[in-house]
Amino acid sequence: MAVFLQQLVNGVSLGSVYALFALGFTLVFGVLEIINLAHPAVLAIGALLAYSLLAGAKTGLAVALAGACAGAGLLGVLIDRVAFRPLRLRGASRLSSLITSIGVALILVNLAQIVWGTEPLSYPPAAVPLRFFTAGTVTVSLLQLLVLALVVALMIGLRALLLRTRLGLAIRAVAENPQTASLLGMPFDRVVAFTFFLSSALGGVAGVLVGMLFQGSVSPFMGTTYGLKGLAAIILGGMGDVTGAVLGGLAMGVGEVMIVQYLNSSYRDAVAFGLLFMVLVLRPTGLLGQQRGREA
Amino acid sequence: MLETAGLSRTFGGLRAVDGVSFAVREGEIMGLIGPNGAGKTTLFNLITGFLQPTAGRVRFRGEDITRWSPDRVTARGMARTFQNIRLFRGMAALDNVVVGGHVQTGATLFDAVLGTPRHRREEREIRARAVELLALVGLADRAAVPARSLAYGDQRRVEIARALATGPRLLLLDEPAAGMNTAETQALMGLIRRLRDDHGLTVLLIEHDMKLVMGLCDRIVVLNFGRTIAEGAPDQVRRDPQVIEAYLGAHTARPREARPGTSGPPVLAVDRVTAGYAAGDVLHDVSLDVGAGQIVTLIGANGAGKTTLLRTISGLVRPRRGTIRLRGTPAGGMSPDRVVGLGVAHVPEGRQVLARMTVLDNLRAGAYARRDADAVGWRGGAIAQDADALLARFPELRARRRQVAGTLSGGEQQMLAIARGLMARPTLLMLDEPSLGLAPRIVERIFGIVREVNADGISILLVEQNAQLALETADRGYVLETGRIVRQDRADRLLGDEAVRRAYLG
Amino acid sequence: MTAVTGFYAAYSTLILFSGVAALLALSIYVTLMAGQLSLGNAALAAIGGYTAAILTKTYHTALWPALFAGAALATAVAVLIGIPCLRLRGIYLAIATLAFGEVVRVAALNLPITGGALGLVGIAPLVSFRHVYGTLAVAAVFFYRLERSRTGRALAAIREDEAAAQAMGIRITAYKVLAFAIAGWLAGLAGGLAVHFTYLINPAQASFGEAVTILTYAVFGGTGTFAGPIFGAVTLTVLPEALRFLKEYRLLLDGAILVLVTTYLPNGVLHPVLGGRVAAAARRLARGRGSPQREMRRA
Repeated sequence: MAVFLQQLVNGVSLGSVYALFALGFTLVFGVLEIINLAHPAVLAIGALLAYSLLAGAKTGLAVALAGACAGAGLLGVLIDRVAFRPLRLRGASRLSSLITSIGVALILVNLAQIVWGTEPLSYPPAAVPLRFFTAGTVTVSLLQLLVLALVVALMIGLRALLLRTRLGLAIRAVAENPQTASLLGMPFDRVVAFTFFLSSALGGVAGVLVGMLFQGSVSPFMGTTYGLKGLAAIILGGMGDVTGAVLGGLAMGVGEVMIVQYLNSSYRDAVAFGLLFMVLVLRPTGLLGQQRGREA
Repeated sequence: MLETAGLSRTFGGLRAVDGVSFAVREGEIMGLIGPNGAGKTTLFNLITGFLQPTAGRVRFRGEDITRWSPDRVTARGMARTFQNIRLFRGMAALDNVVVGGHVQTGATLFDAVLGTPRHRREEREIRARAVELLALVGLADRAAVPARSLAYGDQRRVEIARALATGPRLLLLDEPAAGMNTAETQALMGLIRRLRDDHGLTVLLIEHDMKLVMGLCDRIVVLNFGRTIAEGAPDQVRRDPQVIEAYLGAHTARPREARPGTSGPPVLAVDRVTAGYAAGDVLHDVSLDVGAGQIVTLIGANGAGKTTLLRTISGLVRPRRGTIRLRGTPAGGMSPDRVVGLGVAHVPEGRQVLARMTVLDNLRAGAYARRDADAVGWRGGAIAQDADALLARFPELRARRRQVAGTLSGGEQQMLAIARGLMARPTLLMLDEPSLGLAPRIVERIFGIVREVNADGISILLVEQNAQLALETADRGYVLETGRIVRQDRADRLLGDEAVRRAYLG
Repeated sequence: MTAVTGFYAAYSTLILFSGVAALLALSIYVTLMAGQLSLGNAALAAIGGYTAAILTKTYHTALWPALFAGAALATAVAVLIGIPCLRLRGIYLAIATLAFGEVVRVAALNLPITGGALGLVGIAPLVSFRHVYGTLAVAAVFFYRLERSRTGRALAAIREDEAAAQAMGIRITAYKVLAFAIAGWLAGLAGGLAVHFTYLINPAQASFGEAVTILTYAVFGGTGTFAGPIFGAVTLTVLPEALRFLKEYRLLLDGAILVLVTTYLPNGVLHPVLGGRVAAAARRLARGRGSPQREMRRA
């Protein structure tokens, strides 16, 4: 039981990072019905930016987080301009968008290699809080709590943004029916650009959190694993569904930790993707998702 | 040859096709008509296997084909065209027709790879056949042109040739004349007649062009609200009071006195506008004014270009020629969000409420473009007050204000769409088919709302299929026929005008 | 030693690689003919490669039986995953095949028979020029005929418009499964050929990155006709070798190709109307901002 609780704590903190990352995926999908496969690369760039701020510029954690967040967000806007908007203007199929987003991912990863090298990096120990709390047999690190608190705060903020603000209203309206939204005076281009900013900013923060949680995890290639996990999370939760992405991310995190604990560690990814495959085939709208168009 | 019995299909709660039974006899040309949303295309989809019926049977050439897949239905000898043209756009016209020869041939992949005589013979034959069919529809010289580059009318004809290539006994045509000019429509009628007389085909067609339907069909079935309301020879159907009411609407109120527009420039002035889509122009030299405080209605048959005109005004379609002025400000080619800023609210056809959002959020979305819209927090402030005022006016919506709009009934959705438009505090409200698919009692309520809104000083441009009702409500009316204004006058004078009846029923 | 044999000796691996890359590009092309984007082809190639390698290495099977066994297994797997996936369209299919690829990779990483993370090494050097290019020649003839056949037209019709294809009497499910089967066969064969001149195989060859490389071949060469993927594969295999400085920026190059070719040359670089496309792209660039209503008309 103690082991289970301990793993639950670990799973939730890992899952909350997945969830944050998956939110970015799902926001863009909700609005444009495209999968931005450059999102994992954005996560890596966010983590690397924070590394430069922490290790190079010796800033504090808050500044590094803010910098990664803003940098990744702007990168997202740029990605839309370069890879997606030209295709939208041409009325190209969404498969084309998938392909250009893969291309952007390759470019970003390669550029990151040139700037930061290929060696795995770790954040300076001083930047990451290293305190532990023990309750009975369960140990929780201050870091885990911090991550969890940050993710929860961001999610609440995102929810408030979407439900309570004028911009959030426009995002939801454009996601549902772009034509009607524009008849109501909502500027399509700006709403899309903001969605990309938001999505990528969340991705960048997720990257920093990964770097904080795991020593030696920061590298240009770090996005790959999270990309696939994030994809799995939003498919579990239903593509385009914000709540679904959060639950899907948590499920992925907890599930993964439990599989390692109780089954076989080497198969944890196979289980995750086998599950993803099954969900796609059996219930393409996700376990929670509502019926959406399946054509791409 | 074809027979349906009690064929039904429901979508959610809506009975799109509701117990339709009719028969097409071998060798006849049969018309399937009815106002927008009557369920005609759904019926086609049920017959051809693209949709599964919730009840009822389909028999074709002596066999029960209910729930067959579309490819099996085609192989059995039934071919169709699509309302919104579904050619293989990247392929040449000829190749489209060659694909149609699929069920007429049987060479396997191995035949092709080994180059067997069967493969070569079949290839020769279906190519020759495709060339013949293109010539038959009059497009021999366009064979090599990619389908997407063909003119709209030509695309429709390639689609017919492609359907013919499957070797059908029964041909289903879904609005074959839509987007064609008069000369093209004439040629099309000749073609369909020849298909029957020379090629022994039976034809079932959906069409809104009444000249074509009345001039061509041996018999006609009329659908309204998913049910057959009449069946018989063209002359008989044309005079059927139920049919006339379905198309033109019933008398409900007395016509109103025309009121002069208030002084100042018109709220909307459309001047010789030509506009359309990539495949061709839909509007030609259209001019139309809406005076301050007036209700102006734009009537005409389906496909005349009414919706396109509204879309051009609100910036969704860019005019190719001509000017549009909103209270004197040139607005032609402006983006939709800027047109909204000039005080135009467009309530689109089919309401288009934001179905996953609550009623309140739909109203807030309507106020998006207002300058007094605050970024955060909707409580208090002018927008919340306006929303409250509108909810007080529409008690049906008030009770459901936290409900998701997709769960509202059709009438409630229409009210919500109008209320959403009003949230923008427009000077001009454009309504596209507000009565579409609604029961008469609800339609009356909606038109009552339209008059009330107008009484508050908002000018209204009303596109409506129910011509009777629209003309009884409006000050002025314009009649649109194949993209041109053919008549304009005071609304009370247009009531009972022959031009109006002709525009709808040929 | 003549100039030709000297050249071959120096670049034999590269030349063989080009041929295998061309086969892989054809395997992704065949499903694209029917409008289906599969990102699982690298995994199918790995299945073929592992199978053939195990047969020749452990069981000392002759080359061709081993290659065919690998291709057959890859075909069977392709059909098995193809059938449930056919309910999925567009990006959903792409993601499902991507997930399938990951499952294969992780399985290869963990199964005892595949040698774990190190994979299999010391595979017999059984494949030479004639094997690879003989296979490629047969495949090219196959595709040349396929494109001019009833089957090829049916696939093209499905790509253009599934509903209309069905209305033409085309059994779309059967044709999609057929396309998946051909893809599996080609990828399996390519994988089997490759391991017998690289002498090794490891789980990384089933990775997403490999699938993307294959996709890049097809996108670069264009998917209008089978010559496009072959051209793309050969060019992109040879180019980084010929221009050494490109090697470091290989990913950058691939990425730029995927973005620029998809955006501005949607039919690939090997397309008859190339000139027109470039001009049109230039016009689009010059026009700059588009109107929102065009953005509305997303496919």
